[in-house]
Amino acid sequence: MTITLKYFGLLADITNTNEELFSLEKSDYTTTDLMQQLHEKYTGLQNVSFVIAVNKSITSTEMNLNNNDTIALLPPFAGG
Amino acid sequence: MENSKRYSRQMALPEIGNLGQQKLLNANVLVIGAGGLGCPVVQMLAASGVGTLGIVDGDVVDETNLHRQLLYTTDDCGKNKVDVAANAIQKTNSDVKVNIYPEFISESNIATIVKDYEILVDCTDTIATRYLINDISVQLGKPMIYASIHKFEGQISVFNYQNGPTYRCLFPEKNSHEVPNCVTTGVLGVLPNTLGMLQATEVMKIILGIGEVLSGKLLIYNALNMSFNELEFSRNEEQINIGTKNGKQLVNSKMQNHEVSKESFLGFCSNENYTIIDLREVHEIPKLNHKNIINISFLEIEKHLNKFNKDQPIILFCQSGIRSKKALDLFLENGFTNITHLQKGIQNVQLEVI
Repeated sequence: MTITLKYFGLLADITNTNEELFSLEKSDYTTTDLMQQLHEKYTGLQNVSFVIAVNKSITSTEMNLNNNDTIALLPPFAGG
Repeated sequence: MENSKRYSRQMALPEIGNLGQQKLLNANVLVIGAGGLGCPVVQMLAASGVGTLGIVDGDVVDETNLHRQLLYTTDDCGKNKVDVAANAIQKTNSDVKVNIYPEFISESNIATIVKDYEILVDCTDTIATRYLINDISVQLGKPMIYASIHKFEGQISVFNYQNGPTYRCLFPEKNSHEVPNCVTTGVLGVLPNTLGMLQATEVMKIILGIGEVLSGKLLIYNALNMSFNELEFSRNEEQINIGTKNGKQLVNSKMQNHEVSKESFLGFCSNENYTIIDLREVHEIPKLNHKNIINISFLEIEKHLNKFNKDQPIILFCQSGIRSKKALDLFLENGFTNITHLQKGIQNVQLEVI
């Protein structure tokens, strides 16, 4: 399955993109699996706290991912 | 209204009119931080005729502020931001009463400063301060209009609005790594002004009771690709409890001043989140008629304490402030945490605008 990842704030600096498509080989894939994979791909993510939204809804619990889901990774901003 | 020509263009909107303008005039809004976000918020609310504005900032104007903080001019460098802001507002609109606090918001002053205001606008630039504002807003039941920026992006949301989700529900506190602010990352001058205008918009909608408030939603703006993303989030009871617990400590930790000033009292009278208790006898005048004002004689009040929730926002008043002070002590002894009284009583309040 293919999902869309959106990165905001500092996370876009770390990944060097605002948005990317991500192909997953397995069909049963959860948000936790995804985070593991992203942490491997972008080691800089380990130093940043952020929340994730699945299809525009922020979630704190593990969720199963489906084909064409959009996952947003969102850190708090500090500036004012 | 004395100066209705000034506001005629917005009063022409049927959603505002005379009544809406009166609501703006009666409102008390606290703007915490007078930097990139705070400047546009203060400017817009003052021009719109919001009657009482509090501004908190311990900083002085620096030349590096001038490309984005449009309240300040070159000559103001080195002066206290709040002094300059107050002068600028008086020139913009002398209808507005400005209270200034030349200090940074902290655990030791937040409870005292916020108590006179109905709405808190978070224009600060550190995460720790945002948790502090969140916690006091949860405990005292005041909405918090949040915005923050990172390079070309900005976030805005309204927390704790009519029991909606809070800052902690969106971003639970972690042993967090330092998040960079403008000093370290740089900022485009227009960006905080865009976000500040959105904050001022939400403040006005809340005061006027119109439209749909950005509660339970985070709007993320990206100036470079001109995109707006909206994400939803919901209440997290565990996080709200953390906010309430911390907020309670903030309220109780200091020698709190439990007085509401005469200037802010009228704003609370038209805010239905607050229960206002008139402790006077039936023959005492002037009478105040608002849905949220109830009359319980001072002599009877002790019998009625169990009618109220210990966390609910209550304001007591009498004729001169003597009975209300005694009743205040009674409420405090009985564990009420969100109780204040009108300093010097109703006789000290100018009633023509009620």
